[in-house]
Amino acid sequence: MTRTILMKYGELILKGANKRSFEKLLCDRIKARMTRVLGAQGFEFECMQSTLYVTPKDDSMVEEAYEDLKRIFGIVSLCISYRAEKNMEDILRVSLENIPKHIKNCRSFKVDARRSDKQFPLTSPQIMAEVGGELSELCPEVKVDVVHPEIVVRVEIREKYAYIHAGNDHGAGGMPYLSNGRGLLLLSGGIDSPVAGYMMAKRGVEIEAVHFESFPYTSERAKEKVIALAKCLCKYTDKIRIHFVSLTEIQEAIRDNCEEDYFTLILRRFMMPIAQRVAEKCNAQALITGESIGQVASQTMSAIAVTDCTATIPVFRPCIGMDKEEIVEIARKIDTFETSILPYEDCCTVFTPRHPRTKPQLEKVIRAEKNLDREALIEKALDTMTDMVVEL
Amino acid sequence: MIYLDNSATTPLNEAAKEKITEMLDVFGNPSSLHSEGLRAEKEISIAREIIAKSLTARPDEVYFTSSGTEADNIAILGAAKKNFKVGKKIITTNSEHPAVARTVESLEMQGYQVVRLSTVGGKIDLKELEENLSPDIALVTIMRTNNETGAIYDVDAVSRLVKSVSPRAIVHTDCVQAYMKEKLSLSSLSADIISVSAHKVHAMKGVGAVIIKKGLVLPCHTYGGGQEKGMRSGTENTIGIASFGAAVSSLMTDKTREEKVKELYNYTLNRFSEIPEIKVNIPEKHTSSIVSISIPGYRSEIILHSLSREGIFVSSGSACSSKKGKSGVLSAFGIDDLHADGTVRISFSHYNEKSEIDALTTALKKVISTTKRVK
Repeated sequence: MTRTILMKYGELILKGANKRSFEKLLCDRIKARMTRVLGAQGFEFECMQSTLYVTPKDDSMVEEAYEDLKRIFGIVSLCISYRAEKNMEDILRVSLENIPKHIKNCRSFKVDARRSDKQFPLTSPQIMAEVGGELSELCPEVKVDVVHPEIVVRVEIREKYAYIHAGNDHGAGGMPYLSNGRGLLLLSGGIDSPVAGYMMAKRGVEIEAVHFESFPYTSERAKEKVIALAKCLCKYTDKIRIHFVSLTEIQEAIRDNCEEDYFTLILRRFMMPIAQRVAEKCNAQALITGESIGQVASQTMSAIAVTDCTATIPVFRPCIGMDKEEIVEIARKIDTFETSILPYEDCCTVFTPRHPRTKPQLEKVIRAEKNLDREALIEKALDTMTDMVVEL
Repeated sequence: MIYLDNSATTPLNEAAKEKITEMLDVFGNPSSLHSEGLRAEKEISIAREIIAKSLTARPDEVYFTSSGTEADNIAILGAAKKNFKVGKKIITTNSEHPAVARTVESLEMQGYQVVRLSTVGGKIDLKELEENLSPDIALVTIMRTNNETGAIYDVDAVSRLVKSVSPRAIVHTDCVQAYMKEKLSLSSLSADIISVSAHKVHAMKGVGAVIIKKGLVLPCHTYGGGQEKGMRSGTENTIGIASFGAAVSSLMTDKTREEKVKELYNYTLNRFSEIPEIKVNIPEKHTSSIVSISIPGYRSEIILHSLSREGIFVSSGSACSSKKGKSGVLSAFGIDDLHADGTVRISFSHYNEKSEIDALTTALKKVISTTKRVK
């Protein structure tokens, strides 16, 4: 028995003249990931007629490879299929050997056939009738229902082989990773920022991250947590570079010189320009944050207006219109939730004001930070920058 | 590295390391009948004799477990089940280690009445105990030495009072922090069960022991191959157990240990008196291996991180629970929130030196002057 994973890509088909380059990116990503899982010689790969084929040489690795392919952006659907030679005898043999275990617990099924190779001697309806008839004989307890079947068995006659499968899964969707520029993610340690990173990566944006530390107010474990979160994202991106910048001095300066109600806002007004400079250093064209409107005091419309104006490059906030529960749902899906809720301080929870301003006015905030030498503090913070690459 | 977190865990001593190396080739299953199995079984017997001797117990009173926590669970759940006819009342304190506190809570959910004696200043309130005495007390579980404050609890007094009214009550004491720091035995504590842990006495992690008074048969709650006379089924951690024996054996021959730790304790108090911000939390009766200090206005985590960067390792609260927030133990001691937030535990072993205390003192002075107070 040989099993092949079939994958279909979605909106790439719409990309006209650019389709080829998108397709190449996607193929490269699949090959790179499969090389990681199966070894360079461990699989066959093909791309034909908008379908991608991965055939692991070691059949026991199919499930593991499949789980990895589910996380490749750009694939809309995928399935594990049984491969047969292109003759009816072999198609029937492979179908009868493998398909009954998929349909036997269902109420009803139907067989659907497609021929992209029109040279095949039987027509699609003929293939359906033959395979369907034999399967039905083998599994008499399962009804054939061509209108509302519980499961559809597909026979695809393709260029080189025939593929038979029973049901497919959703792929990760989106656009191939690296197909859409580079963004710098402000990765805290909370629930939202990894989700924001995931959402942008899904649209093909290459992710680099910046994490603000506040040693000794935050711990080494908080840093490890951020690395663990980046590692979760690496399941989608393969690797992520994280830049670490210390905000300790800035936070102490804010605490000593500014009105308490504005602590968080002023701190965020430092984070944005620092992030922008980090972005410039690493050729990222935009910043990405996990902000969600109204979630906390520093994420009200007025607060975002006060902080947003400190950066001049685009700031993407993919979670902006989402409820916490919706964000959590994605966090669970991408496996960051359990790590995000570990209780270590991050720099945003150090010196939090008791009564933060929810409707700040820009002039007042600027007045509140008048005693700070912003430029010098930013430069000093950037001097503390270190970076590391997290890999899958 | 200056390691002053010996109540969290201890480094292996040389005897343990040697034993572990030697044991790497002793792979037999102690239950196997062939000679390779016998070889492993012998190592366990040797360790059992050593642990028994260290607690003036009989070897057949020693049951190896996977941890101090498991030892506590075996004792508490087993004793409660054993004594279900005596009653459903448990006497404990309000400052036990989670291994005891959570286990008792699980019994409380099953309908047991739990009396948690207060421990203000590190002293059990015996008056409160007297008010709660009744013949239906099934179980007493009280730690010997508190892991956060170093307070030594008078287990003997509690046991005597309880047994005068409920003679069948089973008395368990968690001696994980006390073991090898003072001479302990079932009779000196008037206890029926003692639990201890290997990694707190310079042996490997993954091993504990429960000492159950001869004649007391507890129902078990792990079923399987019947190892440890059915008390703790599961193939024994031979290397860990052997390291436990070796570590304890070497500690027993070192007569200067206790004196050295006492000196360190006094020296530390002396040096800390130079820092006015530090308030030392001294229980009425205490071990010399733990110094609990509070620096109000400075968050203990911040102090810990700063010291850690200097290569000095201490603890905020107890390592087992410090990730989970506030310590109930400190408030039970009578330490208010402001002081509790700034409480740091320094715990010694006899391997520590006065020069390390000097380095700690210098580092603390630096931390206090550079880390600003939390408003």
